[in-house]
Amino acid sequence: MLTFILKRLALALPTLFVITFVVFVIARLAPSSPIDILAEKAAPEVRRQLEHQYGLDKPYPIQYLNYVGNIVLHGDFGRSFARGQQPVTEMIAHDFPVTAQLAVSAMLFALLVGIPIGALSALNHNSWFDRAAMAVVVALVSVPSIVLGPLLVLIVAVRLRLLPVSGWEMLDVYSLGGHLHFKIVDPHYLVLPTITLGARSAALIARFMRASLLDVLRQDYLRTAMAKGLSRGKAVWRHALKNAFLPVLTVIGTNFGTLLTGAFVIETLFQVPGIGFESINSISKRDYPVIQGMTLLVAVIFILVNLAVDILYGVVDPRVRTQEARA
Amino acid sequence: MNENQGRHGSGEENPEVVFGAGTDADLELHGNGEEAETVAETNESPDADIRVDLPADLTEGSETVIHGRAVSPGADAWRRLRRNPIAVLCGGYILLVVLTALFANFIAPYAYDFQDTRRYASLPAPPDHLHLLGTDNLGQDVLTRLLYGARVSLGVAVIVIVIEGAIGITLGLIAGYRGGKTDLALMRLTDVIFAFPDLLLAILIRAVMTSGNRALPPAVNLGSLFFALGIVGWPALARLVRGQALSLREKEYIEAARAIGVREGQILRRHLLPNLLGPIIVQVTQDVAGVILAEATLSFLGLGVQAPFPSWGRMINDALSYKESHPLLLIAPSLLLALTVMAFNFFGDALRDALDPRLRQ
Repeated sequence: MLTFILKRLALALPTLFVITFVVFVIARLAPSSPIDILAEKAAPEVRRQLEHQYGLDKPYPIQYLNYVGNIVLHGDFGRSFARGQQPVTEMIAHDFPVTAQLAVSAMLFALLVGIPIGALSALNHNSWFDRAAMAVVVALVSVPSIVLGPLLVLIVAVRLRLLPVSGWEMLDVYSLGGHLHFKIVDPHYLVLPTITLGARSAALIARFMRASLLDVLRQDYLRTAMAKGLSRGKAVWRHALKNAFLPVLTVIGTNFGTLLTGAFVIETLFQVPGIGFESINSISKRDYPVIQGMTLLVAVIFILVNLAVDILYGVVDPRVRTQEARA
Repeated sequence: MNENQGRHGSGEENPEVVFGAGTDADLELHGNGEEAETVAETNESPDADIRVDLPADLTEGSETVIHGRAVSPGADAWRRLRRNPIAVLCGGYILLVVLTALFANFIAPYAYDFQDTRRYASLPAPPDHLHLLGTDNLGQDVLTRLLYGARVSLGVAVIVIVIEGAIGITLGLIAGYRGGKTDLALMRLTDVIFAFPDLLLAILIRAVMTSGNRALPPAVNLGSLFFALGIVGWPALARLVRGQALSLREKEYIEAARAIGVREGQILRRHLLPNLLGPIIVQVTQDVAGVILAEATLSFLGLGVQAPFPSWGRMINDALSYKESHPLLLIAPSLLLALTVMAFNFFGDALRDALDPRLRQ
């Protein structure tokens, strides 16, 4: 088991480094240097001084090593140009919890909607429910979030006035007689962004769950379970669901990245102050260290989540481990 | 198989002599190949469609023999496609969008950057007899912008698909055919691009490119948009082509081609590629949906096509400010974008079913 985990880690590490490299190179492609943006009309001496201060006068390989070194050793993603030299790390610490809440609630929504619908479709294969559910699923997979979001807002918020159009409000929660105090987001503001962000994932999960369960239902061990006297319901509950869920796990991993990137769109759409919203705002302020840092963060999280899914897969399914050992 | 290769290999000290001998060797080879294919097919499933699996260069070479039995694989797939009502519906819609994109300047009632100053009041106006879908906050005719939007969407899609096709197909073919270390290195590269979730890399590239003080020349600006979308799209295609090439390179007709000394580039282009066209066409059709969506998303974020060119994505974003007073402004481009993406997705699915009936089960 430990070797399995170590092997996976060893595979992920080079990818992480190459990603820092790609992000670094893209930043150097920028038509204007950071100094152009920081000090547009400064005298040449001032520019040279600034270049020296930021280490931009050093050769590119050294700059890259400094960049990676700062991230790894000090957790330093650079500084914002626009916001008076505020460290990007600070901005991430401030904005990321918002994005994380949104992404996690969207994933929960996708799981809670997708798995039951997929399972019920498979158990009632070719019934009217199956057909209707799959028609909705096929449509949802294709509907872009920049279409779904505005339409939901138009119907639910503007016409029916059930929920706020956009924004993000925090609630103070006191419990244990006022001893424990924490802030959570007002659920009213969470509903529409969550549905918009999670709809496509819910549809994909439903589709995978259905296919996977249909496959499992045809297996011999399920027939054996029923032959030894288990009712169909019990056989499905005890034997089929767990096995059918395994492929869905992979979908969750790959979809988490989609959710994080989707947050860029959803946060812009609903004015949710997360990293996506900040990044897009920073573009108009030509503040690319911010978007650079946040992109890197999202890519790293994506890799780590997939690593976790991979490892979890090995933990849940012994067959994966043995295959790995043989290869 | 190995025996076969050995025999050919030792017999021909100078491959060019074989080339000099010309078409005779070629023809003979095709005959052998066909036999082997047919046998293999029948073994798998007796009543399967033999024509589907035949290499394209082979069907060309021995057309008369094949025609004796049935129609060509292309005509067969076309027949299946026509019988699928969803495919016909989506295909018809796609044709309509393509025609709109091509002839937008004839169909559209106004020029794409025309601002109607009579009603220019920095607020959108509802539909009337002059502007069938109303005007936006700049006094621009919404219908015109939608029609030209089709041109922008499809234009970007075509160019980006060409870019990702050139990279993805080439690298996939080389990785799959060569195998070994080349394969490993190229697949690691695709893994890295895949490690960026979805559009993130494109967002980063566009954000950095548009962050300068100086306005970019239009060519550089558009170029970086195509580059950003193309660089994100090619790995999926490369993986697909590589997987197919990996299994095809073991086929007898490839081995035979190698044995008579056909050069690698020639094998990739003339023998491997034609047999991969089916899966590539399916993937590309669905990629069109992906690219249209990606362009719309980037434009929605302000990172896509720049004004005065219309883009459905930016029209959606612009309309958000007026969603309460002028919902039509928001609904029209949303509907068009969703329908177009859906049509390409469904058509891709239908194409796959038509090209490979075995997948349907």
